[in-house]
Amino acid sequence: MSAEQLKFKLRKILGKQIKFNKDFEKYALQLKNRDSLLSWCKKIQNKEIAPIPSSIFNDTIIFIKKIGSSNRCIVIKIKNDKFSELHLASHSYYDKLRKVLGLKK
Amino acid sequence: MNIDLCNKILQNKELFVPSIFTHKQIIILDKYLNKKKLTNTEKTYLYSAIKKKINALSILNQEFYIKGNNMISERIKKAQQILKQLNKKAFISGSFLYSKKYNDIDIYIISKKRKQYHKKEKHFVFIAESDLKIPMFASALNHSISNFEIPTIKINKKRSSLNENILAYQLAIKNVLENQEPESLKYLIIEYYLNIENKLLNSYELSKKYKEIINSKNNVEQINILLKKIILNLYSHRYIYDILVKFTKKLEKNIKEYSANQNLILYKNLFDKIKNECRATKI
Repeated sequence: MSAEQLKFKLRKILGKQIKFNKDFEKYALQLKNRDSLLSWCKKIQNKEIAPIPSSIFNDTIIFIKKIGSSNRCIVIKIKNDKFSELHLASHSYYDKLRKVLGLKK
Repeated sequence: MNIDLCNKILQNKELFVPSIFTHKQIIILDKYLNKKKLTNTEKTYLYSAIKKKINALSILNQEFYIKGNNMISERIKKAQQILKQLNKKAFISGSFLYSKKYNDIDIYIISKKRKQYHKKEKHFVFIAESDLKIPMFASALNHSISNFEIPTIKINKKRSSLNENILAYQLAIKNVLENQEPESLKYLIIEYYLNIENKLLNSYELSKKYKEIINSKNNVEQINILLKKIILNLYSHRYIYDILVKFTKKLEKNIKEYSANQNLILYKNLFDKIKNECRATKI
């Protein structure tokens, strides 16, 4: 499955409005088990995964999954009840998350 | 190139000319350090002959500085070897220095650009000199082996936001429930000791506290206490109360909406307690 095919399948689950981070393709190619990412997203859609409210000031919530080692992660953001962003990242995941949420410059 | 060494050579140029450097090479080095424009020929000289000599000299010049205790002696030697090969202003910190089992070797390099990457077991973190004032990096430096003299650092004790502390807490709890490493707990521990105990833990002390909490039977309760103490000490009770009234309502809505809500219930229980405490004391 190419990165484009993966994006297509993710859009099918999470909606066409979902945006992917700049490095998505790079990290998607490194993913060994892409099916587990897809089934995780389906569970999110079915509200079976525990969310985290990302801010005390708005209604944004996030879902986080660590992949393999703790240095890689996926972050999915829901804004105004719609899936808005999907980030596939590497390295320090907590730092990355803070950047995604605008807590760290 | 090792800038400190280049400066030393320039300051003592009479000792190096003509035995090691030519007069012309010293002029080029001077221009390079003073950021003057170099001609193409001068650049060729600089990056071939001069750089090679400087790199060779820096190996002789290598000195190491150790800060902190409880390091494994073989690891100290290995860290010194890594620093020698780097030939850049750097330090090594983290579990590699004190723990039999370690995930990677954290190598911090002082640089103009910030970046990080893994290369096999090495984790390279490029930070600016000014980043050493950030508690997390200062904590690492305070338990490290470096190839530069460790200066006395005045920590940037800027108060973190309530939002950031609550997010770090929520992530830590969720990770604990899912049997994953709660990386953000380290952030909360640093915050607690810096702001409440007025102490900056070094990376060894931080790791010890972190393990104490995650390995205890009542780890969730301990994380709850940590966050409660941080926020009640850092922010006004009226502010916390106003924020938590809205936030707990939002959590209540999320609890009803999601079947996987164990973490949300824990968050709400704690925030309700803090809210009630603030209601009694808000001024």
